[in-house]
Order: sequence, then C-alpha cells, then structure tokens
Amino acid sequence: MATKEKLKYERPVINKINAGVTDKFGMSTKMEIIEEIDSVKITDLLNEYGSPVFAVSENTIRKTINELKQSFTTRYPKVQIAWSYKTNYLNAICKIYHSEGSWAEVVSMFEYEKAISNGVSAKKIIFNGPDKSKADLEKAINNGSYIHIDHFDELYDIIAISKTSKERPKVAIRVNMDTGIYPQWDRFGFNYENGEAWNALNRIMLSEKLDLVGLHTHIGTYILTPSAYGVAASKLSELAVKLDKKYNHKIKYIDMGGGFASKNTLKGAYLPGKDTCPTFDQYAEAITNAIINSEIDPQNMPTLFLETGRALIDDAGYIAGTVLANKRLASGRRSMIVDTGVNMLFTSFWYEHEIYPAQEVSSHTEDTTIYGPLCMNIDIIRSAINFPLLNKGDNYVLKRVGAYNMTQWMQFITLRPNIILIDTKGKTHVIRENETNETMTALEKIPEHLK
Amino acid sequence: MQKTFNIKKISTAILNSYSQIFFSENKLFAFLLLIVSFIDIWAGVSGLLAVLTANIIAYTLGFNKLAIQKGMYGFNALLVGLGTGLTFQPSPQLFFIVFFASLLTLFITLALQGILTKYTLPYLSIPFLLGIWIIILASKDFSSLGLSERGIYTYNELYALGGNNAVNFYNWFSSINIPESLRIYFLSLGAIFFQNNILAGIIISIGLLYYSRVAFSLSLLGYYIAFLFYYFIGANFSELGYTFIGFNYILTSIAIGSYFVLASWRSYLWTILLLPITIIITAGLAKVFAIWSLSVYSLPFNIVVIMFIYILKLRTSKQEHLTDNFVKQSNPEKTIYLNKTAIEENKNKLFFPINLPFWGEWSVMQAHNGEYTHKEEWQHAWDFIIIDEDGKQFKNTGNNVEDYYCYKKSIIAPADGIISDIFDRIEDNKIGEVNTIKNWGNSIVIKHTEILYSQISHIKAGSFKVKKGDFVKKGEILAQVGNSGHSPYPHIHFQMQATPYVGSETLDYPIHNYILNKKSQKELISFGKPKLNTKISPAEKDEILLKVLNFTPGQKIKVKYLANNKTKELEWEIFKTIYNETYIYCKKTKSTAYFFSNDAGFYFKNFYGDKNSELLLFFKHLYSVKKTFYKNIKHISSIRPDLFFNKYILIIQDFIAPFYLFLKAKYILNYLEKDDDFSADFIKLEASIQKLFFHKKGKESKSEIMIRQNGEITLQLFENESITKLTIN
Repeated sequence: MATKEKLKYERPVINKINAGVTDKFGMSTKMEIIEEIDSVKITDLLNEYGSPVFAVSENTIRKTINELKQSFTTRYPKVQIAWSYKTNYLNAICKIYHSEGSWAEVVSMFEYEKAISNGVSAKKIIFNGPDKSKADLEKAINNGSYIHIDHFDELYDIIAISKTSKERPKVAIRVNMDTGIYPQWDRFGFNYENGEAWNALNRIMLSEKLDLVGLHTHIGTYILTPSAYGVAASKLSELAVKLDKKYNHKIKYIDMGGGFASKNTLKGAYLPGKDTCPTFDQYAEAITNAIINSEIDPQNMPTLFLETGRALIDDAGYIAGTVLANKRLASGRRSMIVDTGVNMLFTSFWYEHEIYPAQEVSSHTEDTTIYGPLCMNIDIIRSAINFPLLNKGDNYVLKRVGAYNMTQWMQFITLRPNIILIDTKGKTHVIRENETNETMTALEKIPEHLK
Repeated sequence: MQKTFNIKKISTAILNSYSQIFFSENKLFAFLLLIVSFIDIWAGVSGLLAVLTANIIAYTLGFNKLAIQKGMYGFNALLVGLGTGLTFQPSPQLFFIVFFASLLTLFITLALQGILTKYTLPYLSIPFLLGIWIIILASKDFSSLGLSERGIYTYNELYALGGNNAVNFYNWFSSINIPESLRIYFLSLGAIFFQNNILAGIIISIGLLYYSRVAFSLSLLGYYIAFLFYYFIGANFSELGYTFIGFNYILTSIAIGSYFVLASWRSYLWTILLLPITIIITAGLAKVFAIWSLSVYSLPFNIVVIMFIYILKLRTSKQEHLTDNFVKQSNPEKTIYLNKTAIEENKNKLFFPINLPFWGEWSVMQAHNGEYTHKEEWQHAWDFIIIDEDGKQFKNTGNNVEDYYCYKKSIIAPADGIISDIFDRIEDNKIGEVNTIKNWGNSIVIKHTEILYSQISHIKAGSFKVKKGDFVKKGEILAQVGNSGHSPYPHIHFQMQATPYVGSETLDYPIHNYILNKKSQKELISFGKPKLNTKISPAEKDEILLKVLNFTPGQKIKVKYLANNKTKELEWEIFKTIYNETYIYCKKTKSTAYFFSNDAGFYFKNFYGDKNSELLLFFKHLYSVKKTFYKNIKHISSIRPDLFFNKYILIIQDFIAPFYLFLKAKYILNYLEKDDDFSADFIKLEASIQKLFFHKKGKESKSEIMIRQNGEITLQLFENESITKLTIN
C-alpha cells in the first residue's frame, strides 16, 4: 500500500486586507519561483557545491554581449568592447569575454597582470584609473598598452618616461563633463567645460613624444538616461574635430566607458529596474547618432569603444542558498535569516535584490525582513519584501548578482563559497573554490613570542 | 633615337599585318608568313608594298598608333596586294594598281571600322573582299595589265627562283606520300596567302603550331569537320581542293573556337555546329559569284563569324559563357591560363564594386529568385533583416515596427554615385500589412555608372539624409530602414539595375568585399551573391595593408635580396600604361609584373620576363592580398600554370587547355598576426603556393610575409635550410 505523503505544515497567517486593484479573485500574492538556472536544478547545485553558492550562466553572458554588439555594430561601422575587469575578474569569466573578442579594461597593475595572464595581448589592454605608479606606466608603455590619462601628474610622468623609452606611449585622456545628469562625476579625468581637457590634449600634441590615439569618458554609473551619453559623445566628437583642425591629427577611437544600467532596482526607486532600465538599443541610438551627426569626417570615423561591465554580467550571476531560521521581531514583523550575508552581496547596499524561492511554496506572502547570517546589525538583504513563508532548510535564489559582488566581496565572519559556471551545454564547473580556514590563515604570520 | 624607335614600331606594324590574318601578333609566325608570301616574288613584293602603303597612310592620317602597330590596318591591304600581285604580270602598272588598291582597301577598312565598332563587331577581311573584287572586275578594262600565267608553269618559276636545286627539291617534296586530306589541308592553309603549293601550307602550319597549340588544333578540327561533311553529303571534295576554299573553315574555327570567345568546350562545340553552315554558305554563294566569275574567297568565313558574334551579343538574359568578357593574351592558351585562374580577382575588371548598404551583421531573408516577391524581371534582388541569437528578427511581441531590430537602422551608400531619384512620404505599414498601391514604398536610386544603378526600398518616411542630385560617397548615410510599400515587416530591399527608374528590371550583379559569417568561421568574399539565410557583414579595411600595398607610378622600390648568405641590391620602379594598367618593372632582369590595386585588395595580374627574377618571387608570394585583416582567415586563389611548369609539359597542357587544366598552382594566403589594432607596426601573413599535377600535390613553396607600417615588406622563404629573404622598401 502506497504511503501517503504527509502534507506540508503551513503556519496560519493573518493578513490585513489592502485596498488596491483587485480582480474578482482578490489580489494575487503568488510569487514567481525559480527552480533552475539554465536547466540545472538549484537544489542539485546546493547539494553538490554546498550552500550558499554563486552560479554564473555562460549562456546569458554570451547572449548579452552579442545583444550589445548587435545593437552597436548595426548602427556604427567600427565597434570594440573592452571587458571591465573590476566588474568581475574571475579568470573564467574574463576568458569568456575575451573569446567573444573583448579587449581588457583594467584599473590597476593587479588587474593588468591578470589580463596578461589570461592571454590578452598587452596591445589589447586599456589601462584606466587614477592609480598608476611610474613603474606601472613604464611597463604598460613598453608593452604597447593603451593608457588613459587621469590627471596632469600622470601626464607629466608619461612625458618624462617618453624621453627615454623606446616605445612611443599610446595615450588617450579621460574627460569628465556636464551631461545634464546628477551627480556629475568630476573626480576622474580632465574637465571639458573648464578647458582642462583641451589643455591636456594640447600638451600631449605638443610633447610630440606621445601618440594620442583616443578620447575617453565615463560619465557615471547606472545611468538611466541614454541622452546623457549622446551629450558626452557629442562633446568628445567636438574635441576630435578640434584636434583634426588644429593639428590635422585624427584620433583612432572614442571610448564611451561604461555605466549602462542593469535591470536591478535601485533602493528608493519607485518602479522596478526591469521596467526603467534602457535597452542597449537606446544607448546605442544616442551614442552613435551623436558621433555620426558630429563634424567628424565620415571617411575617417573613429572606432567606438565600450567598457560596459555591469549591464553585461549582472543578469548572468545568481546566488542560491538556504533558509537558516525564521523569527518574529518584537514588532510582530516576520523576519527570515538566510545564509547569504552582505559580505558576499556587496550590491545589497544599493539594490533591492530580487529574491525567489527555489521550490514550490505556499501562495501566501507576508511582509518580511530578510537578514544575512552575520552577527552584525547591518547585515540586511531586504528590509521589506512580501515573501512567501519558507521553512528552515528551504532554498532561495537571488537574481542579477553578476556585477561587482565577485570582486568586492570580502571574507568576514564566514568563508566565501564556491563559484560555479554553468556552461552552454548545461554542465557545471567550479571556477573559484570555496575558502577554507587554511586559505585564510595561509598568509598570516605569528611573531616568535606568541608561538 | 626617336627615329629608330619609329622604325621599330613600323616594322612591328608590318610584321603584325601578316600575323594578324591569324589573329596573332607573334613575330616568328609573322616572319614565316612573310617568307611564304615571297615564294612568289612579285606577289610578295606587291603584298609588302600594299602593307607599307596602308600603314604609312594610316599613320600620316593620324589613326590610332596602337591599332596600326597591331597590324589592324595592314592585313586587308596585304591580302589585296598579294591577290593583285598574283593575278597580274609584274609591271610598273601592277605596282601602280597595287598602291591604289591598298589605299582603297585601307579606306574601306576605316569606313567599316567606323560602322562596325558601334556594334563592337570586327571587320575581319571584308575590306579585302571588297577591294579584291573591285580590282578584279575593274582590271578587265585595264589592258596594260597582263594576266599572270604563273602558277601554271610551276617548273619555270621554280627554276627562276632557285635553279635546279629548287626544281629537285620540289620533285622530291612532291614524291612524299602525304594523305590526300592532309595535302588539301596544307593547300588550304597556303591558299590564305594565295599560294598553290604544299610547302607554303607546311610552313604556315609550323608557324601556327609555334604560335598557338590551341589555334593549330582548331585549324585541324575546322578543316576535318568540313572534310567529313563534304564526304558525308557526297559533295565534290575535289572542289574543296580546287578552289582552296578550305581556309574558310580553318579561319572560322580559329575565330569562333578561340579568339572572339574564351576557348572552352562550348566554343569548340559551336565551331563544330557552325562549320556545316559555313559550307552551305560557301556552296551557295559560289554559284552566285560565278555569274561575275568571281571567287567567294573568305566571304563565308566573314558572314558566319560576324553574324555569330553579333548573335551572341544580342542575347537578353545574363550570360556567363561565350562572352567577350575576358582578357586577351598573346595566344589563346595564355588567354585561358589567365582567365581560368584568379577568377575572383578577374572580376575586379568586370564589375564595379558594390558593397553592402548597411553596417554590422545582417541576414538574407529573401535572396535571388526568392519565394515571395523576387521573381521574373525582379528576381535579382535581396531582402536584408537583422536577427538575434535565437533567429528572431524582433524583440518583445513583434507587433510594432519598433520591435524589429533593423527598424530605423542606417542605410549607407553601397558605392560612390549620384542620387538619381528619391521617393518619400509613404507612411510605414502596420506589421503584417502591405501597401500594394505604392509597392516599392519610399525608395532611393543611385547612379554609379552610366549603366549601373542601385535601388533601395521600403525606407522610413522622412528619414532621408540626402536629396536628388547629391553626390554620395561609399559608406555615407542615406536614410533609415522603414516599413513602407510592399513590406509586411521592416527590411532593406536592395537591387542593382541598368536604368534609373524605381522598380526597373534587376541585374544579376555581385556584391563586393563582405564577410560571410558561418557558425565557426568567417569567410571573406570578394564578389558574391549572398544566399538565403546567410549572415553577412561588410568587410573592414586594414590601414597598414591599405597604406603599404599602394604603389604609385613613379615610385621607386629598393630591393634587398638575401640568399645563400649573399646579399643583392636592386631597384624596381612603378609605371603605368596609357590604359592605366600599373606594373612593377625591374630594369636589371627586364621583368614586368602587372598589378591591380584598389581599396579592397592588391592583385598581381601578369608577369613577363625572367623566371628567376626576384620580381617573380614577389609576384608569386604577394599574388592576391585582400586589404582586410581577420585573424586566421584564409584567402585562396590560383595562379596561371605557365609561370610554374616547364615548357615541355606545358605543350601538352596547351592542347587540352580549353577543356581541362591538369596543371595548377594554388595560392593560399593566411592572415597570421597583427600586433596592434590601432597603431599596428606590422602584419604577418603566410603565403603558400602549391603546384598541382592533376590533383596530386607537387612542390609547395611557403613564405612568411611581414608588412610593416613604414612600408617595408619582408618575404622570408622556407625552402631548403638556407634563408632566402626579400625586403623591399
């Protein structure tokens, strides 16, 4: 005789009736469930690789970058993407981008060397950022990498190096400007409006020892206004035209940096990011129209560089984990403790991350606060979310965590988990192993007297 | 200096007037023909006098010097001179008549040329026919011209020519047992020069064989087809022998088989079909001309060849075969070698480069002779759309035009041209609906050449960036993709046409220089017609290759050659001909390498000179370089085999060249490395040249080619152990 499975216990809930738009069945509170990523069951992932676990979908990565490429290459003759290392510099991830033809965009010698070790030709590395020592610059110049100058002190260093080095430094300047958005980033590069950028360009041209190859800007991050890119592209194009007029010098590329928004919802945003985030087409339309309509000679159009990071990788990353406990707060509010903490989900400080149950659950939801496992008051994943009632041991999954989390995370209180890549055939690979006590203590040294 | 130069040119013109009868400009052949014409001294002198007269007068009247040099104005006069010289007794009056006969023939030649050139038809030997008939008819009144009795008393003439020895030689020669058919073949060949003896025929056939194996075999083919036809019909074959009309068949065969069209099995087949017609015309016309006691001479040959060439030109559908779209060389087999190799490269001469009218990767939704609308007169058109990774052409629901990836994308000029027409103001259709009244929707027609227009349709209303009459450069933005006209969803309709109207009949015309994106690799297409559902994008140009492989006339190239530890230095120079053909000339080895270069590629076309020269090495290894850089893309071509194989094996190949090339040289260029995308210092290529004997691989010659930003090209050969290096700068 077949044994009847015991029905799952559901705690009784009392819900206040909210006035709102309802149909005749009342408000639906049923939440979407994500049981698998690229046909790999999340419960299987957790069983095999432990909980929590980061999972990255190779499929999504490739699909997204091809979407970006298509949006731009069908609107502009020459387009090149450079993978923004800081967004996610796991070697396996970088290699996927390089295999799609991306260059590397790095902002430190650490990233520079990482790119080299990933097999990127030094001549396909863009070296950005304010922190470049003289030794870093020398190395990059001798290797023939492209240096985007951030400030005059760096420019002076490069001019000094150029007097003795065999290779001519290949440089671009980073320009900051008013594109009509707030906040205006003015801490990186040379300002356009006050003439600093033009000043820097003149100095480069007059030094005669540097090859000015491009113009770069990076107007900000998570920019929801494509027209701001249009303004930026026009301003860079104007600089290019001025250079051509004054020095008969044609720059080889215009680099629009990154900053395209991903579909995550910013804290305090009224509408979900899914609905407000512009498409690649909208960004592409704004940027390419601005360059095409500028006075740049159509027969000598510069290559358009993109350093898109967040919008390329965010959707490909997931964290799956397990519910540790449920408890009622003194106010009577429900709270749930999960095994993903802010130490590995850095972006939870600015996003309302989407979290979903990873198995069938009750259709009833309750306003819940989701805490991480850390013994720290700030460890909050979601401060308020209508969430179904998960039991201890149930699984959940957080969507869109591919950008920055795997680089900005830290070891704090707990150890960092495995990162899994789901390849295009649905096979899983560990691309970064979970930490152990040994990993963490390997670098530690104990003075003699304490041994 | 100037004078000797003129003498050289005049002698070329004279010699070519002889060989031009066989469509040849071969000097040795011409010299043999000159000797043959002097077998009868007075005929020979008359001929030479006629040639001189015609050429000098043509020159003084200021006619095209190149045509004079080619013997184009001399050969008809020559024939009239020979004919007149043979018909009448030598006398001062004869030469007087020859002079004026030659002048008359020249005038007929020029007048006919004026008429026939408009139809791009040759005048062949019609001037000769008109000239000789008039002379013969008129001479009946010229009493002081005595009819020649030569040719009747052969021994007398021989004795006069070479004494007893000549008579003995003739007797010995006549005793050789030559089959009857072959005897008439030689007589027919000799008859072209009005010679009634086998010796003349034998000398001419040797000359013909020396000049071209293809022409020689065609002369036999033509003759024997006629021979068999006479035999089969039961016509009197001795008539063929008697009137020496056989040369009509020989010349028809050479002209149709190898000269006016590219020699191939098709041209041979047509030769076989046309010969019986020539025979019927010959027999028929002979009866008519007998009324005035005139010979038809080469009239049947003229009628058949000119008529056939004209008919070929009248064909209305697109023709790939039996056209005059080929580059002529010094003889038919060389013409085959040149035109049957480097097929893609040769298209540069035939087609105006038309590029894709968009940026980035697009898909072919409807190709030539497509299933929806590309039919009949409008079959040679393409519909292009953009699709995503999943093969969809829209995002979201696809119910709005904005959902379609290609909507509002820029349409760019496929080539330089003048906007000849624009239609605007037709609103976009809703998805799935079509406008059957204004079928083409908003359209643009661009004039590229006098007979080549491109049309792009279904454009978005009001999106035009150009106006009627504007001059546009290739790559300039014209308008945006829309959904107007017979367009259920946004796409680009692209077609080539010969007339400036929207909706003109389409031309079957290839697209230039694009990348065919296959799943795992890319393929570079020089001239192609994109097929249904393929993904294509315009090829990007490479700055280094554009800059370096751009030799300009007057430029001098320093060459350093290192082999066996010895360095040699020499200098090449770039020249161009009056036809704007560019070539590299090496003074030291007297070698010339013709090349063609545009912004899509650099191609060597032809080489003359020293087969051990450094220039030939350079020619072979940089034979065909596309000016794009896609890593590991392979560009394959073929080089004419006569530059690679020894002359004995080539003789066999010459004979069967119209049917099959068993000797081949395959050229493969691999794009290895470019050190930097923007400030590249060098590009590394690998060339490999493979000799093929049937399909068996023979010796392979490999080289690594470094092309540097500063213009230096280094070619390093991987042969033997020693290093061979050629550097030019």
